[in-house]
Amino acid sequence: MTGLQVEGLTAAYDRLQVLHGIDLEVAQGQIVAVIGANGVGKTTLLRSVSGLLRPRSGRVQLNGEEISSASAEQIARQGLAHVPENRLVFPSLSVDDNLSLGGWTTRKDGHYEERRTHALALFPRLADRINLSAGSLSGGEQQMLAMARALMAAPSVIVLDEPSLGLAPRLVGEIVGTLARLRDEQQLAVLLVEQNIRAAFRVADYVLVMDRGVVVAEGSPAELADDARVRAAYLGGDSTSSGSIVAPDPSPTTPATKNSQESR
Amino acid sequence: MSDLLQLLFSGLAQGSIYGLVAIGFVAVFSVREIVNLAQGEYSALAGLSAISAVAAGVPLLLAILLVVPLVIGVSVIIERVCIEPVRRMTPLVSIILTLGVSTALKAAMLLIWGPQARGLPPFPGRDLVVAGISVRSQELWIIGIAVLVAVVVIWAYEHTLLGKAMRACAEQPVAARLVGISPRMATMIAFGIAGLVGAVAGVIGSPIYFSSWDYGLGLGLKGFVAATLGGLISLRVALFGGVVLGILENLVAGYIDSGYRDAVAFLVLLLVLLIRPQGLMLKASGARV
Repeated sequence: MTGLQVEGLTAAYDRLQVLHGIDLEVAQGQIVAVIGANGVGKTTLLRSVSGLLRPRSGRVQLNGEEISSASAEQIARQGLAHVPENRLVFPSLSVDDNLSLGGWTTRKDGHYEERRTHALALFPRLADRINLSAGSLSGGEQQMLAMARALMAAPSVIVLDEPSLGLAPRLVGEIVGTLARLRDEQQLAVLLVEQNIRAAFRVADYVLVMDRGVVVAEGSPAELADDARVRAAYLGGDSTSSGSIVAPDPSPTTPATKNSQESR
Repeated sequence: MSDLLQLLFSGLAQGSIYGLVAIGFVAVFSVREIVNLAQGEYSALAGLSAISAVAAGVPLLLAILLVVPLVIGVSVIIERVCIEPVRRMTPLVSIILTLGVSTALKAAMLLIWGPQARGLPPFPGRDLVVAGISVRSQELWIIGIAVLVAVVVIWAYEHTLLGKAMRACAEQPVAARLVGISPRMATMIAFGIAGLVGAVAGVIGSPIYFSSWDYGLGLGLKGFVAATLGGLISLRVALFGGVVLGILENLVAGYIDSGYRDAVAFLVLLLVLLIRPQGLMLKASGARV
């Protein structure tokens, strides 16, 4: 069993229960996106998966191994990388040092240079800024650094918390394109939490819609974009924003979605 | 003029000891916001243990080489027993906990060594008179060893992967855990470093400043004040702050009244708290350690 499996996951902050039984599965070479409004538990879901928050109940399996009671450090060692909300780069350390710390769990395996070369090839912009302090980078560059740092651990599963937050559309496209490359070239399992629904729909193979701690709809992006209920509630009710979800998507489902849009 | 030079030189020696102790405070505080009030006791313990070892016939150098790892071990055990098990550590909790540890250590030292102050024999060398100021060879040892140890610690923080991991824990603890750096490991290493610098300060200073069960109280206070100059998060400023404090104390003692020597540290602490609690000599940036 590879990839990430989550079953009946519940989580709480003290007495406030935030997740009420989440099931999801991410296979190697697959991108699963979780969308939903602010405060529905998307970040909590990722924190429970990566060990920052201990789940109250339920199972989390990473490559077939139960990790729901492991610490964040252990889970990182087992091959799950978490690119956190707000990037959380190490600001006073250089880009290069951020990368070498990303390789902390794999520092003794002798493949550091290969991975560094590969990470910098994915994000050439970082190579130009290799000796600058991470705190001096722009938001987009910090996001790239956070992703590159996560990749330095050679993870099999990567979870990302709103990588597009606050970035210019062109940068969002770059980040999303990199995720697709990681999926296709390295067979990474990617769990992506996004508020940028357009970006999420463009890249994901499967989408979960969350509301108040539960999954209220799921399916392929095409299926969900067709679901009038989901579209009205979570993808923005007005025609301009929901139109923009499907506009850049050249997939065969686009016309159908457009039709349903027009029929309203 | 030679008075001034004399005071500056004595202050430099004394200040480099404060600087070492200040590094101990910063090492521990920067990782997990723990104020370790037992820091000063490490120096007293190291000095007294070395004195006993020498009295038992152990050569001076060997005694020092034995005492430093002993104190590092004591510091790590304190961390394992008193700090690590605490679920929700806050600076206030750490102050109360380490105050207890400090009191217990002082009581133990009083029981073992009694109330009188004693000194290690001075390190080899001859005292000199240079440009009209008397230079005790022990002071040269103090400055040399303190600066060497401080520079090695600061270098390790800035250039080794482990040091960078410690800084990462200090700056961004959540991200540090996500890349697999254990904050528990980092805290333990920080206490090890605190033990190292405290022990070295205690041993090199013992021949002229003496060691006693309550030596750590004043020394700890001065090291803490020096550390606050860098907001308790900058090793470099802590070392520098220690030296400045040592020099200030000697100038005040020499030109005003030696009775005011110990008031200097309190005055500096008040100034820091009133003017810039984030660190008198630290730019208001995100930079730590």
